[in-house]
Amino acid sequence: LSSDELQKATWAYPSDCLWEGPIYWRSKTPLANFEEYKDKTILADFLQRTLEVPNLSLTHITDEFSKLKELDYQGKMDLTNIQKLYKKIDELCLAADASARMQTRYVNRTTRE
Amino acid sequence: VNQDTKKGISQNFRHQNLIFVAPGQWRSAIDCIWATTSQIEGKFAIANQYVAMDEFFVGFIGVTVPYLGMFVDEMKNLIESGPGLVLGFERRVRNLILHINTLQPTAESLQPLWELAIFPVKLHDGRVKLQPRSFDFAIVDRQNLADAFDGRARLLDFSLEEVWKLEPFLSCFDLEDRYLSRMVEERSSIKEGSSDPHSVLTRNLRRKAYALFR
Repeated sequence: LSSDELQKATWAYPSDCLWEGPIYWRSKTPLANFEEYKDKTILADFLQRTLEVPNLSLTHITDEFSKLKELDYQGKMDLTNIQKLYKKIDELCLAADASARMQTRYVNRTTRE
Repeated sequence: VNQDTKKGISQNFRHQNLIFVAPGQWRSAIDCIWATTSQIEGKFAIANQYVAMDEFFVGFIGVTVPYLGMFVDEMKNLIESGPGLVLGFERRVRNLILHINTLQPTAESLQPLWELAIFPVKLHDGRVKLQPRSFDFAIVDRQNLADAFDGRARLLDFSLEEVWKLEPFLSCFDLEDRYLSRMVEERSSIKEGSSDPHSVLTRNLRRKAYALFR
């Protein structure tokens, strides 16, 4: 992970990273937001396929809440971040619905054929 | 991501404290209501904090939008717990009345409150006490009557504007015959000794009467 205004450059486990995810995500670091990783298809492919760094999904929500509660406990929580998190969950659910609908449609079509 | 994960998440919100209630509290969906002010004891109103996110909180997570029955229960619990332990007891009763009034109450839905001392009544000595429907009190619905009866009758202690506004609530308790405008008969009379007609006024009236009935 390269440095930014907040922290120094450091190493992270693949399991502590996401590929795509919002910049405010606290429990894992989304790599695609870093300048160094942008528009580099081979690198992206390596991270996602070989190291199995996932995109953000609903399965990551629980960890994020734990992290936010920890930050809140330290007095470092801010309401706008939690609002963004709820909006993101909503978005992910809508996306899940859409993909489920597409899947059913696909299954229906293939069974008809 | 599948539907089970989604279902799991909405369940987590119901059973774990995952809703941030500013400042500094985490609560479950069951502890929260989708309202701007918290009128229900022990419930946290979150609509101000998460504006325009009702689809998520109400539709998906299952946060309750307060309904009439909830407020009726709240009133019942409040009255039963008595004024001793509750801060601002009378004010809370008043606020609940004003709030229930806005939720299209029916006589049937307010039946549980029929016997309870929920009406703030100003007594002869100026003290205000909560009384049940059966207590003999009048309702002021006109300013002139308010002035005439202040301190002389036991009156429902709401302002004139509030009384007009509270019509839906009061009508559920069958209180129509308590309105002063219906109870009072207005009579005009002339005192003994002043029966001499006023010459100027009489002439004026004659002139008008002539013009009107010509």
